[in-house]
Amino acid sequence: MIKDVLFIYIDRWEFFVDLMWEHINISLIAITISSILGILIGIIISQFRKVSSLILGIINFTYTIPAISMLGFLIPIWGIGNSNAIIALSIYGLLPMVRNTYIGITNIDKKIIEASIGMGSTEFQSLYKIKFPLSMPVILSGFRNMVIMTISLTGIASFVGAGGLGVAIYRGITTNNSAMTIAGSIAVASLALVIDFLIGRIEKFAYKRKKINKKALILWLLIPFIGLAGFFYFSMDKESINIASKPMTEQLIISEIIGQLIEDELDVKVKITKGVGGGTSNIHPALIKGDFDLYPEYTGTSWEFVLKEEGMLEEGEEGYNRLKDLYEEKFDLSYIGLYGFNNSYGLAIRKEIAEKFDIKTYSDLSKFSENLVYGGEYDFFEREDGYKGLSDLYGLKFKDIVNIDVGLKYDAMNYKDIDVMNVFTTDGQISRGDIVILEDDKSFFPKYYAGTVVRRDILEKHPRLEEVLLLLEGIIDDETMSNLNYKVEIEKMDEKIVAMEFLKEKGLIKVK
Amino acid sequence: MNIIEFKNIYKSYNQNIVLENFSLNIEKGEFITVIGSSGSGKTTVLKLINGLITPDKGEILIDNQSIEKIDKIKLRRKIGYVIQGIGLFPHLSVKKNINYVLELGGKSLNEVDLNILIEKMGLEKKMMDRFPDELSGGQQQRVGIARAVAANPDILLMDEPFGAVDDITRKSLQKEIKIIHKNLGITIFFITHDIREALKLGSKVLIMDKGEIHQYSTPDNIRENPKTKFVKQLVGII
Repeated sequence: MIKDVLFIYIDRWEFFVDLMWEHINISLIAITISSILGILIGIIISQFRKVSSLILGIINFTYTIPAISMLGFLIPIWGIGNSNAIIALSIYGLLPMVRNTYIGITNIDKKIIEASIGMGSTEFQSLYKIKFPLSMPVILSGFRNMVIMTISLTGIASFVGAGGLGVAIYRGITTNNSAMTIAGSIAVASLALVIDFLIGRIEKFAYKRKKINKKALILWLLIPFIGLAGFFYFSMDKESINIASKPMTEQLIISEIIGQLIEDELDVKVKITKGVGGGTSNIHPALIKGDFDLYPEYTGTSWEFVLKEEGMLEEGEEGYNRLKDLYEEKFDLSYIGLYGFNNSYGLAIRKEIAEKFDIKTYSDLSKFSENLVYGGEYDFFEREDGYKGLSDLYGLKFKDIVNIDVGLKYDAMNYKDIDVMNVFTTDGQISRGDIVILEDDKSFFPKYYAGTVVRRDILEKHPRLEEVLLLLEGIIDDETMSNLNYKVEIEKMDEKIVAMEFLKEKGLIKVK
Repeated sequence: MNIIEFKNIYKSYNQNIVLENFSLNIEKGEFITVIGSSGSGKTTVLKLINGLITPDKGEILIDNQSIEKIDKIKLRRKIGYVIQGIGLFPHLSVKKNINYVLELGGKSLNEVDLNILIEKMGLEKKMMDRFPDELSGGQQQRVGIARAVAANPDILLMDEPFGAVDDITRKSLQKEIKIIHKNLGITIFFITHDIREALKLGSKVLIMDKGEIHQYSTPDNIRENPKTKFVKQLVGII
């Protein structure tokens, strides 16, 4: 495992450096905002004690909201991406700053403050010449806590499509690549430790008070400056085409394929936000808002989840055209080109059984089901359109039914603990060859054909974009998709390389 | 000429009356020492002079001008203020402490004036870059006085300034404050709990108990004609 992690660092050195830089930028902006705002609020409530318990109460309460939900709450207001993450992180950082500033100032010996007033300081002079410097050690310790907290919290910011090392962690989780997750986590922890050490040095330095004034002040000023620089760095990226993808291996690959194709064909920068938490429920609104320009989506999801239409989407050209029209009419979005594969529920059976009894369809299966063991995840037995509906329609009666975790299903099949299971039709492990996907001959499961959803104004802005996206039409079938997934999930290849090789093989990009 | 006048002052804290119909005149250039039991209101009187406390009723005149009409910030910068113990700012060097009042107005002592002041206060030049906690109690008190007189004030308020120093240091500090008073012609309002100190330093001694003035007179007169039982007790201690 340690070796795997090291290899990841060596292999994807640039990837990690970019993420690290982005991580530092996001944290730094949040830290700057929390510091300035936190100290200001802390000072204000230390001057107006009457409101202090109210303000501290509100801030305390906000602090108890789990970070994930906070990021979620902010999506409708600030959308997806770095700004949402920065705002959430800044809110979290407020508490330690406000509290320590307040405590630092209110705990100063009253005689000292009275002496400064008695000598003719104005309230403001007393604040910046006496109270603020004297409370600096307490404020600094709050600052240190806040910085460490912000750096680690930034790790979950990729949940709302922000960058930073969380991208590596999240990517590792979605593609079942634990070495990647560990590599990301170690990077976050090391960053936090290094920064903690640096602040410790600054603190020590600051306590050698003879030099405190100028040099410490410069360091304090430098922090917001770097933060600001980072902010401009981020806001410059506006002109690129922004692609989003859901947190699924398949979507990571497809978004890479689309991205590389666009970069090759059109002279435009592409920015891919991979694995946006919450999937469609967050990406679709962000697309309408303009945070993203396009993303791969499934017809079934669009029909049921986005359009909330009753019943199944019609098969074939007619149904797809209806979906296209509704998207244009309702959202001003275009559905362009279906890639060919259908990522839907399917039933898989062990190859030896299928061959022995000549089982090809679900109806064939029903004749032999009494002798077979069925395995599925808890979720599938709970859904109305899951196991119950399926077994009613086809008259399936298995010998035994086993509840089994998604991640263990394929192993259970391998050890012959189960004979039949539900799968997703593009699962990477299907291509291992010892299982067979059966045909849904009465069309029980809805179809989830994948295609690209694009903002219409982007199509107008880049006249050739539609043409480029149509290049992908019908060139990826279930088996191809499953193979690509296998390369990323089981062989642990980088999805960038998998996408590039695919495009080369299809002759869509020139071999360099 | 009166530099400070109290006219029928009332002051209470949460129904606890501290001063009731309190009147007092202080002439320019006097060295007033104030002595009294704790809770006698002497610190309240001191803080009324620089406006840290405002009276409930009555009027205070500084240079014949009602304190209410004077800009408090400007007033305080012309009044030196020395308090016992931790009056120095711990995060500022000795030099910064001494220059504090002047810097509030955007000025600071030039090297010559600073050196004169340092010498006068029995301080050393090498102490200037040190911090208060690196000085002895006596040295801290000298810095406190230097800071109070650096801006060349008309009035010097001192609240038990020598309360926390040893006998030998106190004796030399007493000598120095006498010299400062003489040289600068400054009006000093000096609170102490030591009757010997009060009688030794004051050109006039103010004896207070429970917010009332028992006697306000020269040290000789107090020794010879103690007016009340309280004063007799105090003087009898000697």
